Amino acid sequence: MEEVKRRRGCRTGCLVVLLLLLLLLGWVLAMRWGALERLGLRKPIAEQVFSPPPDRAAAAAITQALEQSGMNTQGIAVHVLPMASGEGSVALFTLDASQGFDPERLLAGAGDWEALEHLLSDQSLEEMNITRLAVDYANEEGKSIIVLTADASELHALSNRDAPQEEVMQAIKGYIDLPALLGEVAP
Amino acid sequence: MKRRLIILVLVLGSMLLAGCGPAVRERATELALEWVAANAAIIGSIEVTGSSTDDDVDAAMGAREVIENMLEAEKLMEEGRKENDLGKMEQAIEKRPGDYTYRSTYSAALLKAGRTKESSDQLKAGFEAAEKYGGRHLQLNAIAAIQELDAMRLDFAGGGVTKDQCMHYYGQLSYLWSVRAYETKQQADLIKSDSYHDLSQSCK
Repeated sequence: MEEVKRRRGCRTGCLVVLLLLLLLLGWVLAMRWGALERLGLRKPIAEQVFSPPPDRAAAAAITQALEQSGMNTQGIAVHVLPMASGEGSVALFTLDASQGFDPERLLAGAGDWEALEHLLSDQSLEEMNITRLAVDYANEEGKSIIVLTADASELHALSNRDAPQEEVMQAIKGYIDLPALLGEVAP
Repeated sequence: MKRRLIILVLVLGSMLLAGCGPAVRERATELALEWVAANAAIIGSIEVTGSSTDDDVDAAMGAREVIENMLEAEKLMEEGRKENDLGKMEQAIEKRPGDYTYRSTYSAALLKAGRTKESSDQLKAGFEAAEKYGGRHLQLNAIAAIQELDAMRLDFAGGGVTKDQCMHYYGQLSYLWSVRAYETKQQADLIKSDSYHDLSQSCK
């Protein structure tokens, strides 16, 4: 009798473990595909964080400074999105090749880096309440393949102490679609 | 160093295009691979769970969709304003319920249409949304709402509106200037608030 009970216990235990593993796998897949958002059970995190109205004045000031620096801003859009927590805003630079963004043109025209440095200085960003910078690059099909973001104060701290490049790289978070990027890089 | 940082933040990766020269491409590829190596754990987390585990980073990565939604809502609001189409304004609010400026516009349009109770409700909803984001947004909301009502000044000052509309129009302005006065501490703003209150009482 005791032997039978032990076997049943093992079977139950195995089933529980299997069930837990399946639940874990299901959870990972659900998170990966944004199931809660797709089912409308939860707003996407970006919608929650950026629910306040955009700061159009700050975005216009940055765009103007980019133009004044001599950059060719075709295909570049700047949005300043305040965060719902009230703890600052994200300045997002959208670089869209499908809208005519061309990095060569961008850099060839840039002459007045001082104006740009001033714009992205501690004081200037603080005045605009910008706490985070982000870049979103879309390829010629308009598909976003690079999204990078960094905390503005962290970047400035690294800049002030001339930190090694590795630390700077770690401060920049985000995502690069490597297969898509490698496809673009291929000559 | 700052210049290098700006370049990194602005154009890292975007230089990796076929149009760039081989030397630039090579350097940019190196930078991108260096970045991938330094952030392997986060990239892995995003690949597996779709999240970097940092809300601010996740939000920044999803900002493009927010902007697309925002631009659609702005287009609807602009069309609603031009065509005096309250339905389009409602659609814009549905898309961006947390954007209190839309509610100010909608509230003013409702007031003009004589739907005074709904107008006040929308104004209230706008302040409730703004309050969640902090005091600065309360002030921004008050400024936006004042601008909306000021734009309708000729419609209301010249008569041709009901007593109810008139009372709500000046009553709302009185309230909005009292919100401004709380921030500015300016006597002139308080006087404006009182004056609008008096005007609301003298509506016929």
